Amino acid sequence: MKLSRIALRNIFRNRRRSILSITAVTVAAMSITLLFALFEGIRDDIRINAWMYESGEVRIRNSEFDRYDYLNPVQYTVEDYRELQDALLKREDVTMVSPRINIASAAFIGERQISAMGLGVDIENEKQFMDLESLLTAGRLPEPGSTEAVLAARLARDLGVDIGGTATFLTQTRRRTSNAFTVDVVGIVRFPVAQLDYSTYVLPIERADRYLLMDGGASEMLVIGAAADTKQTTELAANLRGFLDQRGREQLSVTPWTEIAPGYGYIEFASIVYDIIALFFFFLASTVIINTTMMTIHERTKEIGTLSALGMRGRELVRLFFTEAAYLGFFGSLIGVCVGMVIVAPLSTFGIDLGTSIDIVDMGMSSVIYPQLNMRSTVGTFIFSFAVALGASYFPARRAARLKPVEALRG
Amino acid sequence: MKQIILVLAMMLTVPAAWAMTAQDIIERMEENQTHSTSIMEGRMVISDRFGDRESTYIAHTEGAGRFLVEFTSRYEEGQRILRRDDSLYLYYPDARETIRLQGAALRDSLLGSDVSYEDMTGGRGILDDYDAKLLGEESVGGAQAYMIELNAKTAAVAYPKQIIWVDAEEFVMIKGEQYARSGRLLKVTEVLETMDVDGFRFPSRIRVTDQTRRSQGTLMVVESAQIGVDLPANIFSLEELTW
Repeated sequence: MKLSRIALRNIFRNRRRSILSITAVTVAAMSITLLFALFEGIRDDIRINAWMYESGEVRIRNSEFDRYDYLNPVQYTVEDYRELQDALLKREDVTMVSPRINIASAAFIGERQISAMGLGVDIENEKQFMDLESLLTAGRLPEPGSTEAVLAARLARDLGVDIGGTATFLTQTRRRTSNAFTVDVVGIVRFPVAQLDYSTYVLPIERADRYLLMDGGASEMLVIGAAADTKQTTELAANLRGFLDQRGREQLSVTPWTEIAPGYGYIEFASIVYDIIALFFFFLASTVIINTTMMTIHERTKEIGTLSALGMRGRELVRLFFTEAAYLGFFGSLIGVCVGMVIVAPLSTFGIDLGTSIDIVDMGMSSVIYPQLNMRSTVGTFIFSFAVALGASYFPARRAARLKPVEALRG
Repeated sequence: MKQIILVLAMMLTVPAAWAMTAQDIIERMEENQTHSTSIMEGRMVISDRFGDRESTYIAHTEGAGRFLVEFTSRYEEGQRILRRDDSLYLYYPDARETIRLQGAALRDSLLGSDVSYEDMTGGRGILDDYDAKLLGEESVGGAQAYMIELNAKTAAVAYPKQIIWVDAEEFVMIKGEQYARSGRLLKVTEVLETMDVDGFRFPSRIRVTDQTRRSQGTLMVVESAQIGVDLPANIFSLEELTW
């Protein structure tokens, strides 16, 4: 009889214990599938939010602005942004460009001072770049060049204004003087990131230019590469650096989103932590497999003696117990990953609402996360759990192989 | 006999100094610096790590409580600040409504300078808000000055404690130090020049340096002043602010 068939038969000899082993691996594999899918969802969410709202794939700014960022040095601009936008869009490795004027501002309600961040944007362009229309919960987008604006939902609530109302903001101009302006609220938007939802308002870039005396300058330009692939971001940034130098715009800095997005560093760190958590899960599961195999060997000591006496070699005994563990690991991992996938499937569509708990975390993360399955969370988890199950059975199997036939027959 | 001569000598040389209290000195100083009405043209030079920038303005005042500043420099033209008693209103041509600053917002920096809205526009008399104590006399920049400590009576003022130096002859402030409740020095005010108009002497060139930030100071210069002039009716009204 083949070893594999003997091993399969042995599994059914003590079904309860086999089910326990399979369940341990299943739970570990399922948990890791869910964990990795959730992690992948968070990673992608942070990337999308950074690209759309904060930095683009690559951000172009005046390098002096970067240097004195904490002082909001509005005077350091990307000069003649329209010319640069047109030139960038002619490049094959660039697909979208979003010039923006950032307006650090304050509104005053009674004795309360409410901080707000205005985004002066090309309204038509942003319908595509940040899918501005999809953020609308009421009203409409501002007409280009008008005094209209859309307010983030929570900012509108704090200011006590709604569609049809007005809001006045005090800010600093490029000439380092102060200015205040009034916008007509024509729409309410809801940003997926809580921090944006508390403070952001969006108005036409032409108006922002006038209010901040920008003279055709922009605070920054966000660029999305044609590949739209994070693996090529560094290359895109390097290419754009050379491009700007050729055009005599050495004063501009080019920064990949990975160096800007607050959540990116965290997610890279978390990736290592989650791998350790996964390892810990599998370690726990493997203790069950080790225990099961040890128990099996203990219960079947006489049988091992008989098999040895009949001529089965130590190596074959190792293979036998190894194969048994392989079956347990295979089924456990397969079921675990499949159950995980079944759970993730609806969650990836409907999302997990983290509610307001995420509001205090400033890492550019949405309050609703959509877990995502990928190779790591499915195939990777399956292979890993299977391998850990095999590894866990190796030492008990070797112990069985070292039993002397006579001692084993005595039990 | 020697003692009598010494006492007589002291009485003859410093009679005024020892006769005056801190309250008297401050009242004399405020008589100089607070006018029934005035129109002043001036400029403010703000120096920071990015260089100097200048704003020019015309200020109208009525007593200590009413103050209207209109900026005339190119990038701020038409912007106005109105102070009426304890409220301050900002008018900007691009805004359709005035901004009312109250409470802590009055202590915000004016145009990013070392001067707060409250510093710029003044307010009630010093003795309304502070208890004054004469610490003595000392020489400041070659001028003999009274050194007076001011401790706030209420928490509603920008500086819980101030020490001011008042010229003993001219009764004009020549130096000031503003402190936080913790005792930390917040600002230093130096009067570089004074101006005499119709018998009123007041600071005309002042440097204010915010000690809490890396600042090179803000220079406030009064270029010209008219005192006791007739001001347009309702100039300090909200309606007039937005015309």
